[in-house]
Amino acid sequence: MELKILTKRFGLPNSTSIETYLAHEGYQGLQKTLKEFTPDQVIDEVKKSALRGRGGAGFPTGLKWSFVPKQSPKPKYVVCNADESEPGTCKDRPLMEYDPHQLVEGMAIAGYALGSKRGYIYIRGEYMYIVPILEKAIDEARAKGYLGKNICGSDFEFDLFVHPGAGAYICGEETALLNSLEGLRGHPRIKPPFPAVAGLYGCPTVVNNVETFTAVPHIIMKGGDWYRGLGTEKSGGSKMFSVSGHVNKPGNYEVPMGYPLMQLINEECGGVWKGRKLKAVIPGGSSVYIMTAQECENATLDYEGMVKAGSSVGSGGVIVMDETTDIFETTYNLIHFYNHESCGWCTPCREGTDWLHKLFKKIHRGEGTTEDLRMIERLCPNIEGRSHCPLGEAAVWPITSAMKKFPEDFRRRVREVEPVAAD
Amino acid sequence: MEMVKLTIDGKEYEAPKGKLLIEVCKDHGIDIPSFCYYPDLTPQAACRMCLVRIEKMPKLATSCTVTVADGMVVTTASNEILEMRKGMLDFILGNHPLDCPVCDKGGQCELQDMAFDHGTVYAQYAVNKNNTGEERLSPFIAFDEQRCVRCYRCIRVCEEWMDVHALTKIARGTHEYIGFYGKDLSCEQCGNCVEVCPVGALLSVDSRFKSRPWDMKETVTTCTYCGDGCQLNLGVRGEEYVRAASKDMTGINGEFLCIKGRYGSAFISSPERLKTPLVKKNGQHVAVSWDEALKYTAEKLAAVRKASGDASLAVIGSPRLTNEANLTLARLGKAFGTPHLTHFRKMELGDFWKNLSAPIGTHAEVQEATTVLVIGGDPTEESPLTGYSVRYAERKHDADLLVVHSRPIKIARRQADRFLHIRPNAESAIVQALVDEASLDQMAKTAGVPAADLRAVREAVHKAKNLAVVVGPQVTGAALKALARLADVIGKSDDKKMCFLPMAGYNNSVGAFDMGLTGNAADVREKCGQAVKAVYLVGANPVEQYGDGWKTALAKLDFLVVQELFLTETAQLADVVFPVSSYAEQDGSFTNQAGQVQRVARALEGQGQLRPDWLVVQAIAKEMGLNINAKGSAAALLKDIGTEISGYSGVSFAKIKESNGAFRTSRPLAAGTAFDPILADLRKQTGAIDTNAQHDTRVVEQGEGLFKLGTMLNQVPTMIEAQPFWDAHKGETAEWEGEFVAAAGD
Repeated sequence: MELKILTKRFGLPNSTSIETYLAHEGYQGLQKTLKEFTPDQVIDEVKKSALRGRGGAGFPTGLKWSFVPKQSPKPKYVVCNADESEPGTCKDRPLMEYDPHQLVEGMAIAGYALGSKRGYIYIRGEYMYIVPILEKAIDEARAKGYLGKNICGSDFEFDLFVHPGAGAYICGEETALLNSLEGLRGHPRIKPPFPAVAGLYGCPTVVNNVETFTAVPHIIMKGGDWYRGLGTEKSGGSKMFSVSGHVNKPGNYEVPMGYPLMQLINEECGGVWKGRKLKAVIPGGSSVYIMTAQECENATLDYEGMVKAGSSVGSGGVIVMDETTDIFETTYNLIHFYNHESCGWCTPCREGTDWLHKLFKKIHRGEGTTEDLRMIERLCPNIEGRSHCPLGEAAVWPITSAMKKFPEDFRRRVREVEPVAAD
Repeated sequence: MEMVKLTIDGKEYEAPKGKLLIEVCKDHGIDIPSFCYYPDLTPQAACRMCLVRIEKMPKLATSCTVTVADGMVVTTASNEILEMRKGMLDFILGNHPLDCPVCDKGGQCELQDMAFDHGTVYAQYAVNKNNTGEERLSPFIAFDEQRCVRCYRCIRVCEEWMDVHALTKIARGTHEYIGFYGKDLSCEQCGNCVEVCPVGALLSVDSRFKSRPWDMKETVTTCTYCGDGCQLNLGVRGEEYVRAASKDMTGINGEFLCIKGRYGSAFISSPERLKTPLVKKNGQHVAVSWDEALKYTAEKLAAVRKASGDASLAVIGSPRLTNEANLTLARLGKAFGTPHLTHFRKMELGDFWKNLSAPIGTHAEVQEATTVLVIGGDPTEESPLTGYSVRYAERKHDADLLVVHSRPIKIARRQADRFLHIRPNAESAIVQALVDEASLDQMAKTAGVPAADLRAVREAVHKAKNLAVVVGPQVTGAALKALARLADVIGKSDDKKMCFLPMAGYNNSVGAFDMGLTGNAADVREKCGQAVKAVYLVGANPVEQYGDGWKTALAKLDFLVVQELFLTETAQLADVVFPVSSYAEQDGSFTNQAGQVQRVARALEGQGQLRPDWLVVQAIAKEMGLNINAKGSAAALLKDIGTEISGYSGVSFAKIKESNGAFRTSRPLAAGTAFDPILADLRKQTGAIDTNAQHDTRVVEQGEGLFKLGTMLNQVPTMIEAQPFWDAHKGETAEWEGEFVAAAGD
């Protein structure tokens, strides 16, 4: 049972134009906000909706917005994290490509709620072709008075700018993103202070994912209670899932929160391809625990349900692997990615991912021993929870879970040796 | 200060609220290993060595970023933490080349120490290392990437202490390295990045591969270049100079040194050093014994004195010499009975001292100032520690920085809150505007600056709560006198603090003056060959520095004695040349421009028949039968200084040590003498300013003062070799289009 909320204008002719958008309830959320809501009421409505950050961490959006100090004399910023680089995730891309105005409207409402006059869309460099789409939408919105000064005749002022990144995964981490946006090196900052207090240029800033912003106009239009009602008690609304891998119909699917994972795979995606059996699923972009077929059985796609099933929703990139998949190779591929993307700031992530990658490479070449596996197991806990930002953990989770859940795929690649005396 | 109570490893401690946890731990002797934490640099949380367990925090926390709070419960020494440290060191040592046997840092390396204290016994890294080579970043600094632990101290020092931003991170992940954008490292080459590097990644080219740290004897002494008087650690292996480093953060300069301090001392071991006394026979210098040279000199001087009278002898000392040497020279001059007793100086300190209305401030006091006025000098290039101190005030508490200069110097371009870009030689006009408000508009026109800017500077100076005035040598004559009276003009009150810091020029400019060499050197030059028949000249090269006028003047003399390190242009003219000990080969003291007396300590014996200047002077006096109260050691001479010289009361080596290496002299403030005559002179001085002179807009990015080679730097091979590099990086441009360029006042 696919939903059509965020995706409802997908497929309409000329869906990126403001005319199409306006003809299909476009900017009504913004108008309603300006007419009927105080900024606090917007935040309350978002809190009521149980909307949680769609970028991966799942932090309650309303709560995040309420952290922005109202009395601060500094300007406040709304920043959209469109640096979608999580392996397996490609949901923000169609949201911007097919319906850019929905994002513009969501950010404008957020700007109103937070007392901000300026927003930035930080988009990953590989999405360069979407930049003109967004910029055209912003120009159209400006021309029609949905951005700029005196929006919809009110005294609310808000403007948006698009800033492309240069191809670093780390810039999806919100503080690294802010550094990059400021023109600095994309290194994560020390937290606290959190962006809500000291973000872009040291000013209060809210950073949200594309999908999070796009949900906001719907929450305003139909109410937080309605939105929450779509999903579960603690995970409101609908969510986009990018299903890839060994299924018959890979693609982006919008389903209600709490939707059964197997139903998504079997019904929406037409099941595992070539009549094969399911072996494993990485359900939330690569930075989550891998799941066995058995764990997938009763898993539901909501934040709590996925934790119960042994993983997490993450950014919604569902990678499906059939029975022929070698999980060692999958993991090797991922550690290659994380090693390549480690920014170099902190010791455990910089050196740890490099070391892990070298060990995997060695095993891949067929030169590995059981001692190498033991070393991998020893290194991972010294990266997890000790790195400067979550990249280190993201690199380790798929490895530790894969080694635990698919030990055979690892063991058969290595030669048994006597353990070396531990220090 | 609000105090909080916290528990560390089961014990309760009190600490000031908001202090970094790692600092609190260090204060109480709790060892927390760290690389990226460094005092006075922004926290990084990069090396992850300092992780501790704090109750109620989900993960281990970096103690270098967490500030202490009431009720905090911290564990720094559990099994979990010890294992974490082992693991973290495994990571750091992973790609590290472990080339300790050939590394200059071996033995002084923080990574070695840390591996010893916290690491595992066996190497765990059974995969290939990412091997990289060594790269020369500049003629002074080399970088061995593979040894780097990525603590980023170097980058932060370059950005925060120096405000130079030459070093940065390049590439990412494990391929990340410390580097620069451009062709090579374009900076002041201060080498502070090398100083703070915990491992052997950043290296000084000049001392690389010369000695293991434990083969070196290190002696704390005072730098022999500018008037700041930075404390140095001179490393000597056998009888050869190896390197200079800063003292272990306890000197007035902390860890700071400039290019001259760090790389300028190799002249000590130069093969060009004079080794024996030389006497000119038939126009040629011939090596002779000390006895012969002393006897000959004494005879000649006595003969001149007898023939032409006491005043026919002149004694010229030097701001490069120790206080002890200058004291004996002053005594010799007095024993001669000659009025010609002087040294070469950039600044007429006598005028300044006589009118002093506020105390001379130390660098630490300048760092605390809330308003800093820099007038008529370029601290970055001429007095780097003063420059550092001014930047410190700006960086730490956003001091109001006012710069007056005839050129857009670096501190004006980069750090100043307000820059008065005056006409050449118009410093006096600004001084007049500061002390005489009525003339402000006219002075703005004279100096060629907008009146509003000048008014703002005047107001900032007059209203300042804690004012430091850094005075450079371009402030001269009546302007210098008037400026010294500034505190009187502003009016003193209890809630106002003020100090002066004169940029006196040389390492012992203040001491040379204080010891009594107060005459006028130019006056001696005029009289050479007429009233003055013989000159006793020590530690100066006027022919090279002050031009041919001196060459002709000295040539007219009947007799010239020179004490020098090298056979300089001036020494070549001398009838007798005595080879003397450099600052590194003798004991003694220097007085810096902040009026602090600091130790000069013998780091090596020196090669050849070297004697300290004071010993030579005393020997000459003895040969001539003059009593100059000769003493057998520098320590005894310094004691004499402590009884004879006003402001130096009680000074001795022991006293210097007690005062943490810097004995502060006292200087009386001017009694309320009439200000009107000074003002009248000042008006004359400003009246003579050429108001048609064009503003000098030339910009020299760096090196103008720092890289100027004198008698000593000329004998430093790295400095000579670096000349082409320097020419390429001077960054000289004819025009500066900065926002501070002032329109002409009219």
